[in-house]
Amino acid sequence: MHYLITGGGAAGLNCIEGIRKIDSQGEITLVCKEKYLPYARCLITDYLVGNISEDVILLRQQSYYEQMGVNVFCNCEVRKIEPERKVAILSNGKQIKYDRLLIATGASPRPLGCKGDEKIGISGFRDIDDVLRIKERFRKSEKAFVFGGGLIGIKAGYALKKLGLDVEIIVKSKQIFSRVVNEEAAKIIAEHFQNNGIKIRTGLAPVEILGDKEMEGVLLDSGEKLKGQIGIVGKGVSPDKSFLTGSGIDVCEGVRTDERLRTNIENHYAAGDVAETKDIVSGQLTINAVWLNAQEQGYVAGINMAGGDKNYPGSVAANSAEFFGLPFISMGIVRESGDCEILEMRHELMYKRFVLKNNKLIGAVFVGDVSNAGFYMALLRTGIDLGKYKRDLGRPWFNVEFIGKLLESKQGLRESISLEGEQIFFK
Amino acid sequence: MKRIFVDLERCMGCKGCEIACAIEHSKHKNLIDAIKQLPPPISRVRVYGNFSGSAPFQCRHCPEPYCYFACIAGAITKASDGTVVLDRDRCVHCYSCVMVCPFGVIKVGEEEKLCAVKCDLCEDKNIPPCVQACPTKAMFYGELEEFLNLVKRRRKKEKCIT
Repeated sequence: MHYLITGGGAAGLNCIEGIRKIDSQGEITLVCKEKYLPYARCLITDYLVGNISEDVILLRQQSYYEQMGVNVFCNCEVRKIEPERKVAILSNGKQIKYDRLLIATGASPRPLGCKGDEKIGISGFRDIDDVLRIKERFRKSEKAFVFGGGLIGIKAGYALKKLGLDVEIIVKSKQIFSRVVNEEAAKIIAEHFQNNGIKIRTGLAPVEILGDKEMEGVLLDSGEKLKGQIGIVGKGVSPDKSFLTGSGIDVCEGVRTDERLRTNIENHYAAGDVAETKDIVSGQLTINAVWLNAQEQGYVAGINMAGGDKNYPGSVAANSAEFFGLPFISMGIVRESGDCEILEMRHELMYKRFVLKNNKLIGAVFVGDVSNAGFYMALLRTGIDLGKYKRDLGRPWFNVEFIGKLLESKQGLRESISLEGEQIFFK
Repeated sequence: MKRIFVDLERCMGCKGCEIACAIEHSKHKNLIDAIKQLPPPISRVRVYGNFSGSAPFQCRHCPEPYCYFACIAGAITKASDGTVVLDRDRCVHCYSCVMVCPFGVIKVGEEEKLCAVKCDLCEDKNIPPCVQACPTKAMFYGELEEFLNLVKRRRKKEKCIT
């Protein structure tokens, strides 16, 4: 049995773990686009600041791959696959014959899409090479811009601020993190940014990047010209799926998968930022491109590829970050729609918001105080009816009372905690 | 693998385990200094419930832990003996683990670092202090098999009394 994994990200790495859980013999080949072994992509901000070293950012050391019996091809991509013959053609010209394939190529940053966006100094923020490029440029820079209000771009801006640059965030919509949190939460976070010296300007977009070959400034749609040497593009990502054209694999926005993470063609699986999976709240196929989904999907796909039978319950929209000591977490659907119910509480920098539908939690936002957020995630994943307890959502005693209630009514809980001691809610 | 198990019939919700855990994770490891310590030491165990039903919750060392999948830094791993280990040096305090732990037992640390904290089973001790502190012996540290036998014995005895 030969397993081919295209993509050395979170999904690819955990696929190895999943396969090896069942099949200790089969041959595994991992194809990584970058020249590095799988690393913790979310830590590139810390890598930029210099908080962490090279061996911390690597998720596993070289010896792990030898131990697991994995052939790793770095700096290499799959150019084309032929599902009928089960052959993949690599960018180095090699042809690989496989029995099972995992598509985990991930996603790439969207371009800025304005005049002059190819100039030196303009960069996405997705991989180590971006960090090295920005580091190189950093010495000649005084001011950096972040274009877009997404989490990744702003994380990069935060890192540059920590390194001592002047940072300004330019967002087209009314708020930052518009895909992650609601307006009120964004306002609190934005204020916190401003108080810590990062300027945020909304309702603006760049028209042209100024400068000869290198970025020297930016022209905004308001007509303003601003000086700056670095421009981070945070316009989101789009899945790397072009190599699948003509292969017959069902691709919409991403690669469509079922509850075992199979694609429409047998023996072909998909996971991570390239895969469309069932959203646990809405039930719709969607790309929830976050780390935790990618890791879990890779693992589940690996088990199924190796002949196991593991159901993937669904992905969840979830984000967590901390800026200048202010943590925040968001999960599920955070904006109101038609027939949902909103519960909110606010105290200075602390803000909590719960979105309910039919007495079930479908989304939540926590700013400042994130403790016990996982408990709400469990409520969201399982869709437990909250009954009269919903008025206590977010209160410090909520889970104490609620779990007490579950303990009392038993609901299979007594046995499960005392005997197995694991996974009460998500079974 | 050895774990902490709880006989739910016996938990009275006294929170003695919480105190014992906080003391063990304080600087000087005694009650009075632990109370005075600023910021206060964090208990890794929390008693949930009320008189009609309560249980101490701490890291359950899940077989396929959500926190492992969520950790963006690779700081949470599953050791070969099945325990879930959090490496404080790798933690970048993004709180992704806090976001997904269904038991709410990973906490935001406020000790010397902002990194996440959770039950580490006090590996340098034979019996974790929380288990030792339990006045009703509701908490038990050992193999599942041993615990099941213990519960069986206890139930038999209780039947004789009634």
